[in-house]
This record gives sequence, C-alpha cells and structure tokens, in this order.
Amino acid sequence: MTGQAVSKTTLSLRRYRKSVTALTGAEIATLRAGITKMLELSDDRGFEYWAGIHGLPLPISCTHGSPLFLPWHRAYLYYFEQHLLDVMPSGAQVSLPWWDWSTQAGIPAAYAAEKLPDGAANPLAGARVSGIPSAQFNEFNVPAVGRTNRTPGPTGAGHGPNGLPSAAQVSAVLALKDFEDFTTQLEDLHNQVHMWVGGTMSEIPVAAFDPVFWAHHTMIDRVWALWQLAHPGGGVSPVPLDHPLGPFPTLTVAQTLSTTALGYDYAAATSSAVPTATAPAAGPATPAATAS
Amino acid sequence: MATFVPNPLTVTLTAPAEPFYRADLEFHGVDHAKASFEGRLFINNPQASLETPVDDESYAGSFWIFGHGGCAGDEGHCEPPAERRPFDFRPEHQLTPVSKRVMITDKLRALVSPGQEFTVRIVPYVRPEHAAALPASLVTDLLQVHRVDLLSYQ
Repeated sequence: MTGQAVSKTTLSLRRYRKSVTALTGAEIATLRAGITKMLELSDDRGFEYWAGIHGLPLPISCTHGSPLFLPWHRAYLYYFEQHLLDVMPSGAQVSLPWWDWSTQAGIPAAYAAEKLPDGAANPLAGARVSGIPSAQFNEFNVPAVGRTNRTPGPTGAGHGPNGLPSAAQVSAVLALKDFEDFTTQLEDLHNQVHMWVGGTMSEIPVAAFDPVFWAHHTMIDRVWALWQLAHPGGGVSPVPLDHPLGPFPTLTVAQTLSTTALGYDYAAATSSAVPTATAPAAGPATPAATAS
Repeated sequence: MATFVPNPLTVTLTAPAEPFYRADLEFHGVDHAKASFEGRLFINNPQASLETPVDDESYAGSFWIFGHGGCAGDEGHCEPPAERRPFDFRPEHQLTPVSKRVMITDKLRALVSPGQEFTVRIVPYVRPEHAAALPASLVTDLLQVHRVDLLSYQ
C-alpha cells in the first residue's frame, strides 16, 4: 500500500462490488471461473489457504467480539479479492458480490444450485475442507468434514418471516452514530446469518471454506461502507488507527477506512452512456441581422 | 452426536427511573469457546425455556455468539492467560471472553415499572440439527456469563 503512484485514473480503475442478484450471467461465470482456479491451487494463492486464514489450520486469525471485527474482515476480503484477480486474465472484471440477506430470502441462487446447467459442479455451492492437519480435529472441537455443508433455516420460530435479519434491523444499525455501538450490533446480525446458514458456516474454524462466506462478509463490509457514508468522521474508536492487521502485512486499521483507497466501491453505476457528437437540433431560425 | 441441553441463567436487576432515553443490557465475560448459539433474553419470565417462542411478550431480544468450535490445539492451547504481562504486545488470546450489548429500551419500558426489580432470563439456543452434528462437549454448559449490567441513558 505504500509507494504507489497517485494517478488521475484511480477513479476509473476502481472495481465495483455488486449485489449477487445484479450480476449478469457472464459475471457469474467469471466469478465461478476465478473461484475454480483458486480451488485448484494448493499453495498460498489458493482458496484453501485463504479459507484457512480465518479458522483452521491453526493459528485461527479472525477477529470477533472486538472493535477490530470490521477492519480485520475488510483486509481479509481485500487480500482474497486480490488473489481472485491474480488468477484471472489481465483485465478481467471480477469482484466479490454481496448477499443482501435482509432482502433476499435464502441462499442466493448463484450459490445454491449444486449443479450448473451443463452438469458441472457449481463451485459457489460448496468446497473441500482441506489442508487441516488431522491432529487439529479431536473429540473436543468441530468434527472433520471433507466438504462444506449447509442447513439453512431460522434459529427458531418468531425471528421474522425467514429467520434472517430484516431490512428494518439493518436500517436501525445504520442509524447508530457511535462506531462501537454500530460494530457490536452489526456483528450480532453477522453472527445470526452464520447460524442461519448452518452447517460449516456455523462454526469459526471451518466457516470460510463455504464460498457463501465471502458473499456474506462482503455484505457486512458494504453495510460498514454505507455507515461510513452516513456518518462522516465516525471513525473506528477505540481502535488505534496504526494497529496492524495480521496476517495482512501491508494493511493497518487506517488503511481499511476507505474502500476507494483499496480500489473498490459499492456504488455501482446504474446507468452509463458514451457521449457521441450529434448535429445541433433544428430549432427556430435565428433572426437575420438587419442593417439599420 | 449430541442433544443440546440448555443451561439458562437468571439475573435480577433494577429498572431505571424515568426519564431514560435508552436502556441496554450488557453481558460481560461471555464464553465463546464452544458451539455457536443464540442467547435469548426474557424479562420477568423465570420459567422461560427452549419452548418459549421469541414472539412471547416477555422476549426482549437476543445476542448471538459465533463459536470458536472447541479446541484444536494441545492441552492449554485454548485457555486465555489469567493476566496479561506488561510489554506483551501480541494480539489478545482468541478465547478472551467477549461482551455483548442488547438494546431493550422499549421492552423494558413496556414490561417493568421505573425503579422496580425485574429478572432477565438468558436461554441459550442451538438448532437441534446443528447440535446433532457436534460432540456433546461443545453444547454442554454452553452459557457462561461473568456479569450483566443494565445501562440507561438518562
């Protein structure tokens, strides 16, 4: 993050993260191709390695129940997305989509279908849980699973029509003015969604192996970005801005405060056009000058 | 593998005098070492249980714990140090207990008179199908809370 030239083209080079429901078929195909390539890599560029950063294999690096929750996960998404870009051809347009569970009931269709129309496995529906030494599964922790699984559903009757946080709950959280208030309440909604998805997503050690983890956390990151827009200067108190975010060696808390400085935004263009030169429209004839 | 048996806790607190603008329940020293769970809060309902729905009049909100899922290390790996040494600049231990905050302003006002004592029953909840996939040690004695505060902004 240091030593980069300041460019006049920064704005135009920024990536836009979109709602998963707004992705075109081609964009979903590109995302699937990128995730597939990451799944094929067994080294520290691959999906397995990055999923393992969050939980197992040890050390478990994620930060929960702390004001570092949002900065740490923003850095985590950033590094994952950079590796996603790495595996794609130069110039490929791909970014992490967000799953707005407050308005989209259920697992997004792009992540739900086990098989694609051509019969191939959908890489967004699940992934191997691998790269974890067998000694790190014992009778005192989550059982070893070979592949992610989900059991979506509410954690009991009465939590709204589908058991996921509602749009009203998200709005209430966005209205909170104090960062610590905001992050603690948003983290609770986040926890609720992890438990709603169930299965692998329910427990920290293996949650990030489920591809929908990344869409869920992109939603959380988006809500933070929206809160930042609504509350300029809201900051991240009580977190020191120079606090490092391990294991992401180039990022501190301060460097996560601006999504645009990280090269992405959530304000996707909803309408674009290329200006073209056109002949002036015919109008009333200009009165001819008359000599007096 | 396991059947979840909840271990609810009940605390007695005193409602603030009016006027107050906001009331929060804060739970300190909440253990998150085991399975993920929901902590359901019921006011003046000491019999609240897993069967008490969250649309019951006494329900005041929930907090949600994203669990550490047990210990993957050797003996002692998941025991936070009793105290932090000076000049220990490493990150805090992963299993340092957390604090949770639930805003209950409207419910408190609706259910409890100002200045009156009231109870908060905390009922941990794990989805049965999730508990069934876990070892019993991860869903036994799940709810551990060191202290509960009622904060009111007046």
